[in-house]
Amino acid sequence: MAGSSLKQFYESINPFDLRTDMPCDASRVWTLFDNIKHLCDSQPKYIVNVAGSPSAMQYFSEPAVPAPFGGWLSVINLTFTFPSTTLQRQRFCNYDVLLSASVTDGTLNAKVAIGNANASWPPDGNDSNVVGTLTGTSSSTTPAIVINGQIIQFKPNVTMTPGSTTVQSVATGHLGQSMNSNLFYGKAFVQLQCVGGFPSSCIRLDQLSIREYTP
Amino acid sequence: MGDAPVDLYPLLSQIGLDGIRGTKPVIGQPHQAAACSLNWLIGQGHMLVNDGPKFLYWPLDPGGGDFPTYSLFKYWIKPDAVHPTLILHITLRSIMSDGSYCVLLGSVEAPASFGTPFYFSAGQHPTTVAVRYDIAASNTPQEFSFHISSLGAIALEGPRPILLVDSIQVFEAPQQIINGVGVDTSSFDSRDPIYDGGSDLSSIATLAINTDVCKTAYYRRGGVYQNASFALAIAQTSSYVAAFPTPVPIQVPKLKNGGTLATVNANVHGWIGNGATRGDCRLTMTNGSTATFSITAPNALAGGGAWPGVTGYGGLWAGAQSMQVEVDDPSRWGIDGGIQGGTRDLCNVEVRVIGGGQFVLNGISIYDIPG
Repeated sequence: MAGSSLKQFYESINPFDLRTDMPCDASRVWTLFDNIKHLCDSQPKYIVNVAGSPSAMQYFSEPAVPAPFGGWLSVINLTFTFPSTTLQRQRFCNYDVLLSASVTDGTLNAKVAIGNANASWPPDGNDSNVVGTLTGTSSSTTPAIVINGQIIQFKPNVTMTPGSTTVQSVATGHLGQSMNSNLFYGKAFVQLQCVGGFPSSCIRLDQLSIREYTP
Repeated sequence: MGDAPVDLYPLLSQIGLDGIRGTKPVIGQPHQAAACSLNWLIGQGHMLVNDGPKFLYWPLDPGGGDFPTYSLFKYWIKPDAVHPTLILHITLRSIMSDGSYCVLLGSVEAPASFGTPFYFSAGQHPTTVAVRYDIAASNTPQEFSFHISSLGAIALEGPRPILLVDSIQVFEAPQQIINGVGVDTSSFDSRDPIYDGGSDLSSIATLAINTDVCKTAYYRRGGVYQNASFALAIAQTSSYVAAFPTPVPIQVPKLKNGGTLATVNANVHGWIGNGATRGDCRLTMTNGSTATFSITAPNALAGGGAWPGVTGYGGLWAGAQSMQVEVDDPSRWGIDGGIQGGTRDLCNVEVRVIGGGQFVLNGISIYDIPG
């Protein structure tokens, strides 16, 4: 963040130094305001954070269909919604992605996309509501993929429309207008696609972590 | 202490730092913008649950078989004290494409009313359901639970997955008025005096106090790892075994100079059965910090120790414990998102059972400590 002093951010400001009967110290006031800017620009969170579980996360690809170029195509699609404070302020925003998945046969393609609540499914690169994507592909000899620490950067010039999102329309009658009028939702999409394997090929999602942050 | 307003569009209220100089007059605008932004930050709330994919199982004959007729999710959360409304988002769909399966979100196990239950059909495309959930604004740690139940007959052979839950998120709904914290923005109008007012939401000193409050409460990450469903893992040996094939990364905000670790809290839910005397769950971070949780309660709803019956879902929370996790490394923001030394701090989850039988792990909650 331009103009920010992280060292000062990590030090507390003694409010008694800012009393009326004390001399006005501009540096303290500057530090105080800088702290507030830093706080507002960088409220972080985990959108999702899971580790694979044998009983819950393995082998739930949708039914395989013939692939266009031979073999079979099976897919895991996942959607996550989250309140994005950084989207609200239209600041730069980064997403640290950790994804591990494997497949029993064929080539595994992985795509992670971040968008606002109006983003369509499946994630489409032509959709202006999708603001960042990350992809990876396994090799045919090593049918597993790991995306570790690759970062999706969200640009701040995406048009956001408060109060008219697909998520909220589903929730008609449950979300009051007064409550969602200043709430922007984000969406994260994860797609794991197995191409060229046998119809019985199984995709396994081992680990998925998406951490939103704005330094 | 009174109410403080939350500006809908704080991005328009720029905090000008350029005009703050020792020889310049103090003007109200940047003070007011700072107060407005701080209120906005406090009003946002936390993301408390960030759970991932689940299969939901139901029996062929609801009311019979060895599996519960519903899926119950229990999370241990710590909300902050200013947000009385939680939003539950569940994205889910049927594995089958005909959309003939319905689920019900109810309040049977919830500590307070969920509001009107509703129904929907889940096809192949994910459906996101949002439910409002009111609580007494408090920063007391508490359980958050809900059901997803099958309503109609399920024409499939034997227990098998019916619904796929993509994700479960619970977060505090943003507030437009915050009470008991924040700053009265009108106290910073030009020509108004700057005065001590720590008890009435005004003055620049209150601004400083609330900035520190933000760091200790409202800037914290809330839920950092939340995982719940029926039988996440089952231990059948007296030696620790990994509950999951992979560990989970945990990283929390850096809040002060010096040190690389911060404290988070964790809690574990489960039950023992078939003669077991104790079930243990051990969380071990890469940094060496550990927390061990013991469960000695049998599944009370299944006759004191057997597998749960169709309506049974026993178990208890072990009790919250603290553990140390790594904080952000700001010098590495542009390299790998601020990971200490470039190596993630991972949480390994292990389980074991003492005395034979089984220990069934139903939930793990790790949360940064807002409030």
